[in-house]
Amino acid sequence: MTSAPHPMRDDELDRLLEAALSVSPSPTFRARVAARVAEEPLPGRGRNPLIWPAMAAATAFAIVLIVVTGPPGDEAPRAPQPPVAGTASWIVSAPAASIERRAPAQQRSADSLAPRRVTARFDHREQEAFAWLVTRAKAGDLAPWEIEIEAVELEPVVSPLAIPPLEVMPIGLTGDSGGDPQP
Amino acid sequence: MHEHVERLPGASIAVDEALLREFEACLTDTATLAFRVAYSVLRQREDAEDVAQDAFVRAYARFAQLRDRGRFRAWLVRLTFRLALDRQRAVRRRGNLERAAGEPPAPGPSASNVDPVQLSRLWDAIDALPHKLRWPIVLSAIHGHDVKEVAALLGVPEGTVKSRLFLARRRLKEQLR
Repeated sequence: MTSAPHPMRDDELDRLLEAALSVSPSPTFRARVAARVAEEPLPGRGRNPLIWPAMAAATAFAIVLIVVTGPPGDEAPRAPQPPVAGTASWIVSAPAASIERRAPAQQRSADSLAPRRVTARFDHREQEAFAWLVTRAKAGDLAPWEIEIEAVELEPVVSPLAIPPLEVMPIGLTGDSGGDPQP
Repeated sequence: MHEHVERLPGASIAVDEALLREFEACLTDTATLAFRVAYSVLRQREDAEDVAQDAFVRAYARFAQLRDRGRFRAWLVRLTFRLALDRQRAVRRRGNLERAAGEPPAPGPSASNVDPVQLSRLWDAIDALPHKLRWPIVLSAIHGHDVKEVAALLGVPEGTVKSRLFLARRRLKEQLR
């Protein structure tokens, strides 16, 4: 008479599983893995998936910047130009200080690429006044109330409204109508 | 500005060295786990070590992209499983499976008082399990992982792990009686 095999108990199965998976790596395993990892390139450097799009965007931006502003070495070889004629866009001449002289269009377009310089011209009276101001300021005895402002005689302003409009009278057929007398 | 540019490489190297130290700490913590996961598939010590080593190298290459370091164990377990299965398929393709199956698995320290025939039958029974029942029973036997840890390693709910463990244990007990 044979008895049916009994199923394995839980503790027996746990002991068997533990014995089957209690195997350990060789003592040199960690050292070998550490050495292998040390040979690998450093993570996070050059392996970022966004590095190539970022570099492409930076290159495109640099190209656009160069196209818009011109090559960086463009201004260096420019020869020094005379202080007045070379930067004619902002020359101010006294006494007509409110008049701005404009250079020809071609010259202005060339000067627009050059660094902007401002040159002002003064007549001899303004130069004397400026020299007087500098001298007094250096001496430290300049007070604002000491500056005398001369009364400048201005030319009478002719307003277009001051000109009386022309009167156009209708030509009359008879002398009674108020027109010009007939010859 | 020049000073800032000169500081950049040194700072980057410092960050990478910190990353390497952190990875070495993870390696110390999980080396045996990765080896046993590979061993449960391949049953060959040398092959298991090779696979575990490959898994660590791949994990290191992507370690900087792993934001949550607490998930490293689960990440490594899945990676090692995948690589071990690939190695197993390659071995089967080369027809060397007979060699692996013919050799008895290298017993561990606590296997000295276990019948080798019983161990061989156990591995056969484990191999006969479907994957979804196999991994929970293997992971629960490694390091004594509980249900919660196995669920975290496999990325499945705890209830699923419980039911799969129950089914796997029942099948193993039926085959080993």
